[in-house]
Amino acid sequence: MTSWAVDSAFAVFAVAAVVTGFLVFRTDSMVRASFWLLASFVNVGLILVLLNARFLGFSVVLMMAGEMSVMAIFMVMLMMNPAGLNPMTMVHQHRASVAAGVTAFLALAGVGIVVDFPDDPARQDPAQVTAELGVEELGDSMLVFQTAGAALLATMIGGIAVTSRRGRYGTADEGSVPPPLDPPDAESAL
Amino acid sequence: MTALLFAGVAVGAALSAGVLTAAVFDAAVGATVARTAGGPRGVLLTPLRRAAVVAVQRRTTTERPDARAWALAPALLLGLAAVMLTVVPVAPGVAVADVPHGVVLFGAAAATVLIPVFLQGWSPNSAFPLLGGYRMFAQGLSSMIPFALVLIAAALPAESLAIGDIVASQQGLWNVVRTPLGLPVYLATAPALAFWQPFSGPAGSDLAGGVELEASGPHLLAWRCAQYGVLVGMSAVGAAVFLGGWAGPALPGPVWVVLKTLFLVFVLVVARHLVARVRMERFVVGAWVVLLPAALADVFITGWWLL
Amino acid sequence: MTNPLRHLAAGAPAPTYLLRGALDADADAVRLDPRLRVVDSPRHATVLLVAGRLPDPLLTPAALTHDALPHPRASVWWGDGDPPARWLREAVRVPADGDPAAAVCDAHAQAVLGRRPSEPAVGTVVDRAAWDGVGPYGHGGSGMTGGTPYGRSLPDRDDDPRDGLTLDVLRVTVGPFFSALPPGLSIDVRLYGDLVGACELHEDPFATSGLSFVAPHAEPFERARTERVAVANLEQARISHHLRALARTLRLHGLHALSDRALRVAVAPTSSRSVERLLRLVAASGAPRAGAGTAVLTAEAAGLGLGVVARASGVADDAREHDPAYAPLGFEPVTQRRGDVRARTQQRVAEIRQSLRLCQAAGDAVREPGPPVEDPRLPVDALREPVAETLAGLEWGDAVLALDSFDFAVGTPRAARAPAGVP
Repeated sequence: MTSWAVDSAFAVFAVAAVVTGFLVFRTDSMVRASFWLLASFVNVGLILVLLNARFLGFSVVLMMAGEMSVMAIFMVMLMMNPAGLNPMTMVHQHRASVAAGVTAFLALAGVGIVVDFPDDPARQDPAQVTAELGVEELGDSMLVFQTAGAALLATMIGGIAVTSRRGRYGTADEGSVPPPLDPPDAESAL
Repeated sequence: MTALLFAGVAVGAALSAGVLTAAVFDAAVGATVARTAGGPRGVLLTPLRRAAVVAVQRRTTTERPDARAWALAPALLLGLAAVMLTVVPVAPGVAVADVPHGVVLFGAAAATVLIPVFLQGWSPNSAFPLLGGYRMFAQGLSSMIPFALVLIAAALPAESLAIGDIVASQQGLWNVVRTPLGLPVYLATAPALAFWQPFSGPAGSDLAGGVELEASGPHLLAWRCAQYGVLVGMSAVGAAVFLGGWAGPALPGPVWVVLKTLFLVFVLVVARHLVARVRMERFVVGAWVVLLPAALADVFITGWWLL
Repeated sequence: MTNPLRHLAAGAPAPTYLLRGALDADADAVRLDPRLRVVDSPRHATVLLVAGRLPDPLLTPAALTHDALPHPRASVWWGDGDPPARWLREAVRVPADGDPAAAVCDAHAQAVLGRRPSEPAVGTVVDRAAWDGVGPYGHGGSGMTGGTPYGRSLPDRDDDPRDGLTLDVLRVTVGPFFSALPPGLSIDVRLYGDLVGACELHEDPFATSGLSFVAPHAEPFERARTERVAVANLEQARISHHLRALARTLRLHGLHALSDRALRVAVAPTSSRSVERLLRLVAASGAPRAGAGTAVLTAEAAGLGLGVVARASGVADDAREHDPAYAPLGFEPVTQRRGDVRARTQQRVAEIRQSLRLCQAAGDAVREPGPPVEDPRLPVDALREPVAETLAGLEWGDAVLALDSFDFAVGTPRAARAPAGVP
């Protein structure tokens, strides 16, 4: 892609990421907040694609779609706000948060301006980038990652198998309700 | 710039043709199963007529919906269907977007399908569409991992994540044989991600239409076309990754791509009319306890075969 | 550009929403007509077909359903006499023995082409209180939520029956024209997400208004009480009834084409080969196997005189066992064991096969009136509380399948299910 196209695309994605990130805290519904956050992550993923780290970029989109869905589920499940359609304030301690955020932004912006980053255009073959990334991140510890991954997967499968159909009082397709107070076998005192 | 324009037109044309063909298949198989009288002309015209009726109706609204998210849902689903079609190679080196990580891009598009379906369910501020949206979350999250794993297993022999390379690596032996559990698990998880019967819980008739309950008018038409589009996109990639893409005797490559895609669409349409809907909890348990280990086994078998 | 589109739309099968009332004609057969297509949601329909008289409790829901149809919309009133509601006086009228599909198709075409003005709203508009919140986000009150959200109270919070987590509870009345429930039946549910916490079935609105009716395919059962009826006719009526129940079940499983086929076989004179082929396809689809262990009705709760439901729970109570007309045919009651949804569906399939055999064996045999008739129709009031108890704790889809498996015949007179020995 030509340089001006890449630069303008970067500018669009960057501004969109910041704006949607800001909207996470300005919206009045938890589901909308989750999806604004997803939009912010998608824009970051697209910036990664521009940086020629395409595997990372597409993976970010893939992962975040699932993760923001899980976040929406949990937020609605655990909060009083029914399905996120009742307006509510989404923030607390916002003065301290705003101060911390502005400070962090200034610090990172300072780093971004002062540090001398390399400015070679990302021209390597994307497949080679992925291979090098894999070797760099996992290379020596491949066996550890495989074992940990398999253990995590087994835990997930076990957790789902244990909790999915079975509630405290039985499976949902047989009707899981608490047992009645008087046990069915009790003889009535006559 | 002209390349982009040409790509857009190509994807649009492929999507429209695919949606129309899938709708015609659906009508034809439905008429055959129901033993309805009606010649081939009826079967060709019925989807067009039904689409015209839906287009002529006006869009209804509910009380305090999230109008923007509701309008976004079919547009996003249609866009994802288009993205799925862009990664399908029709000839060696010819695809709208034969990116080196086509499988991951396709996986990202398939995973993101959860979002518009949930938005279609949550935005109308109505009980049954919301239940449908949550069913889609349960269904989609459960089927995403086996779906991705069988695609990765198919990418192992090619040593590349580009779909064009995967097709090229099937010159001698198709992946449906080399990764034996791949296509069955794919055919069990791809319609679940597209909420296609027998995994149509999100739009099920026990919810009187589920996420589609409150939609009407051009919005509903765009939604249904998008669902067909996602189905065609998944069939196209499945045909490329498991059935050898453009490989085949006599006919030119692109024709084989189309034929194999239509074959998978036909299989899914027949399953829609002949298999009862899988109930939600059973599907979730089945996906995690059966499909996921099967997909893992598929990866191991492929790896062992390569060694 | 819209004109060719509208002409194309006018020629399409009219999407219709069906409201079933007390009618002397076969409302089910309307589904098979290629000129119209019965849809699950009023928002997908252009024509509202009111089939028969509606009792008074159902008139307001009918008006609200009418308003849910998107423009352009039309109504068709199918029945004899005056329409039950004022807003139906302007509707297209079809006599009970007329052709409703032609009227529906015509109304659809006229509405779509704009020749007939789209009907205005007829239900009262419920005025919600204005949002009355305080604070920058309108949340008001104490804590994070407060005020009166859009004129409705916040939901209750209660412990989810499955694991004790305190969640919001949705109290809602579903019905009476909800397409997944028997037509005319309403239920009050407490929903914990998609789990039915507690459920209560309303009474049969037709029975309480005195508007009971007999569907045409069930006429042999009514006639058999006082007249001589051929055994083959009686068994064919039974096959038709069970096939219609099967068609409804298949529709709930998402198999609309197979459901249409079942209905077609039910409506047309049955040939045993077509029935067998249909039953094989149904078995292959997995629909009859669904619902093992769901909504178990024990033999004690089922009791006597309840037809298919009792026999599916293991009670071998069939009025035909003591009927002299069936003795030469070697009749034995068929039962299932567990009394769950699967048992009831498989009981219906088994009874279809049994009735096919009886039809062939009976030939020209005639049944004399006198012994009680084995009537497959189950009135709602026979089992309201036991069924509501079995639905507690089920996921919504399972609850709908369970309610459908009982095959309540809304509108059936109570006397149809008199137990053995009671006239």
